Amino acid sequence: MLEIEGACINYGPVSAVRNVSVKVEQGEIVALLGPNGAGKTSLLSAAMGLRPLAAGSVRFKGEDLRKLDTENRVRKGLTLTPEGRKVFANLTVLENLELGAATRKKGAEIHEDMEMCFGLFPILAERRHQTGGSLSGGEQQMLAIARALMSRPSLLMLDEPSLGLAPRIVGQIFRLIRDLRDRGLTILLVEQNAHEVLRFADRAYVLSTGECRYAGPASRLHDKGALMQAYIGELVA
Amino acid sequence: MDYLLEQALNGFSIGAQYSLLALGLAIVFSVMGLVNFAHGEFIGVAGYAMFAMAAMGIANPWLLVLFAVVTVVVVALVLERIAFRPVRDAPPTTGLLTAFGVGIVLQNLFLLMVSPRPKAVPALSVLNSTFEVGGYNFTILQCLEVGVTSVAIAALVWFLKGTRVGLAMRAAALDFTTVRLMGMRANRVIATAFAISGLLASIAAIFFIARRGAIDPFMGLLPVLKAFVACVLGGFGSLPGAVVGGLLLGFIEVLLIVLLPDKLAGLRDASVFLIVGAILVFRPQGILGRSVELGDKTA
Repeated sequence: MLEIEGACINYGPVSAVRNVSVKVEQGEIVALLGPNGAGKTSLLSAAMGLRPLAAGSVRFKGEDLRKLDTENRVRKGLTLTPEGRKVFANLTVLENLELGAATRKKGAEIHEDMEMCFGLFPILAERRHQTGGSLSGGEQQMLAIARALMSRPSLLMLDEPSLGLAPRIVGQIFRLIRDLRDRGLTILLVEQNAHEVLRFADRAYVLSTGECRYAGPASRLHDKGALMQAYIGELVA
Repeated sequence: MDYLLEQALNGFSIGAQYSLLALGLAIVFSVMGLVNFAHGEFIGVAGYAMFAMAAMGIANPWLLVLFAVVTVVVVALVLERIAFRPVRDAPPTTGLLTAFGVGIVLQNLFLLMVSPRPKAVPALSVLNSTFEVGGYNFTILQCLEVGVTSVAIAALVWFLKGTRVGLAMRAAALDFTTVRLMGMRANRVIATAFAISGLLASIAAIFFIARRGAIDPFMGLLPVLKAFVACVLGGFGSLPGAVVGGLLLGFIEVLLIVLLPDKLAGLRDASVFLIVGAILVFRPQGILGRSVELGDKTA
């Protein structure tokens, strides 16, 4: 579904990602792991068109995305829940969801989808008239995911959804991610919380200092030694 | 008592003009971080549009007003497209210099195409006629200023709360990137902001020109400066702040006209800015501005 090939991303003279290839197939949960500064967020930004690729290509459902801007990539069914959640703090929960549906025609279907989101996250229904900024971290993460779902994406990219959340909430978010996959959504998940994610991801990539250190089934990294080696050692796969 | 009421209405109507101009500045600033110092030239565009129409023999003030409003909105959209869009991602100083450049070009266009000297635009002078209600004298203009400004602000509030582009504009004030991630087209949001800023400026311009009865190429300079001060006073980037700042500025000005002896009249603007400066010493973020934490990754 999503094919990133030979991606290179630079920030001025600094090279953040070098020759990384990531593939996500329909119906998969793919984990993108790695320590801070490995280039995971840069890669997602490039997939969304927020960052230019210095080299390489991005294809989605077989179509070259490089000529499309961010707005049109969303229209193709790609969506990103950014790092730090980025809910619109000055807008209410309902207004956040309404903006999430910005690519769609106004109408009854949008209301149905909002109700679907409220079914997934009952707490958001209770807080629908509160501003995004007044929600707790976990609630904001739920809102960010719900907002992303409002565009009816086929691929959901999540950047560190567990960041700064209590373990109980993290469990809840991870359960939800599995539920969404069971409903037919394809998911690319960036996480630092590697052990948890590897339990339910289908495949995993490990990035470190801008290079790909592991690409293969998530199960092969269940062993702590293998994971450590992927993080800090040489190529395992 | 009568005198007080009259002056209060004066303060309100002058403040309303500043509010409209300040709102336009604040809207553009909030979505693209640009202080559009060419905003004052929208007043000139409205003035010269009316002047041109009047020169062609059209005398109906409503037609002139309509033509001025449409012209300013179109000019605002064209400027966004040809001048500000190309520098959107450039550093803020580039945008600021572009705005000054656009202002200078427009001023000189007025100067070369019409005249460097003031020209009379008497068509709106009917608005200065007075009428009496219960022993008080009002001008039509004052009532229009208060009424139209209130309607314009109410319409703006509806737009910002009730439409998607409005929601996007509010959200973009804090985080434009995420608005784009929702699939909202950046060009549309910014063009709309310019159109609204032009619309509000043209309304202010009509009041301004009706009061003065004349236009000149540099007539926009002082109003845009005052609007900028109103924005700072209210809290930069805050739309309610722009309204409050504009009204307050109007009241301070009228208060000084009343209180300052004639000999010191020349110090009026200086005194206004002194008072504004004093307010900012105690509330540097402006009246409705929020103090922003700097240096946080997620901010």
